Amino acid sequence: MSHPLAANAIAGWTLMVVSLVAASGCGGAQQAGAPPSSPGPTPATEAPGAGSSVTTLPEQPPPPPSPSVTSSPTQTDQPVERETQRRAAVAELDRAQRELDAAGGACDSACRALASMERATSHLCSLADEADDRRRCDDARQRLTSAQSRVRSACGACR
Amino acid sequence: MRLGWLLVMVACSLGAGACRGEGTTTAGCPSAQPAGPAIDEAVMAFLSAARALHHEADIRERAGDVEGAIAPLEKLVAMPAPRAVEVQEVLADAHARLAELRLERGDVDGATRDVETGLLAVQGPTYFRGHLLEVQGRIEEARANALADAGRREEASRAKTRAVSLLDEAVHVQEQVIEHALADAGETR
Repeated sequence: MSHPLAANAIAGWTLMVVSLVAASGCGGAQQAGAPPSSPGPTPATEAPGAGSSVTTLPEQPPPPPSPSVTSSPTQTDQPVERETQRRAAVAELDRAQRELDAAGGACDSACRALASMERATSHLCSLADEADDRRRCDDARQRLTSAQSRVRSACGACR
Repeated sequence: MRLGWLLVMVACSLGAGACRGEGTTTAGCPSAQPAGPAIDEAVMAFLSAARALHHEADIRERAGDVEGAIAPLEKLVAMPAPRAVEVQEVLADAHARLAELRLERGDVDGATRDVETGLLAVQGPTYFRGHLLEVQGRIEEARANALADAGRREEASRAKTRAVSLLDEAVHVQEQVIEHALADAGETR
């Protein structure tokens, strides 16, 4: 059964579950494989051609790019970032759940209203023995056909 | 991916278990599952009792005991009702079911009283109002047939006119319910 309203929410739901699992399951591996965030001190080298005992510090490397630019956070930022990602995933999961509930509830409401509409139209048309009643019957049938089409395209078949 | 579907299935089954499905209707259940803030304990107790009484009516109705099915529903509509939309919808639904059962027994006047009481509980274009109008139309249809059988043609004709009007109104209300339901679902996407 095709359920376009619910399908979107289900897809989001599934994606978020996968993201949550990935966020919690891959954290350790990322930490273990991450390069050291601040390289250890480089041994001092003699100034070329000086021949003296005076040592100088090597040329300072350029500062590492900020975490917002690079994808390799520092060791202290990693847990914070994972927590932020986890919270975002949980929030997204909640939103997807609400969408799923709304879509399912909307289709249930539409389907039971459609069933009532079908019964009312059937009884109305069985009573239509005069011109004015027949016109009402035709109008009700048109509305019913249109509603059936809308519900079918949004929700698939009603149970 | 399998885990995602499993969780979706669990969520769906938990939601479905909360209310008793009955064909295309869900008797004893409000139009929407309570979501967001916790709902009042008295309301929860009322809804739980309503489900149990509908269930009792189901069992008796399935056994062919229409009179016996009416009794628990009469108990339901006589219960002290907390003020809440969900409660009003459940009461409207119970009145509609009572009216249908009474109509089945040929108690047209009793069915009329039930449907009129139910209509006082719900305003605006809701499924429950549309369903009550549909049942009221069927009651007037039955009345028209009974009057015609008794040779009271003018009264039968008036009852038939009322039936057509009520059924037409039911069609319009349910059409609006469908439009709103699908529009609301579309907005959440």
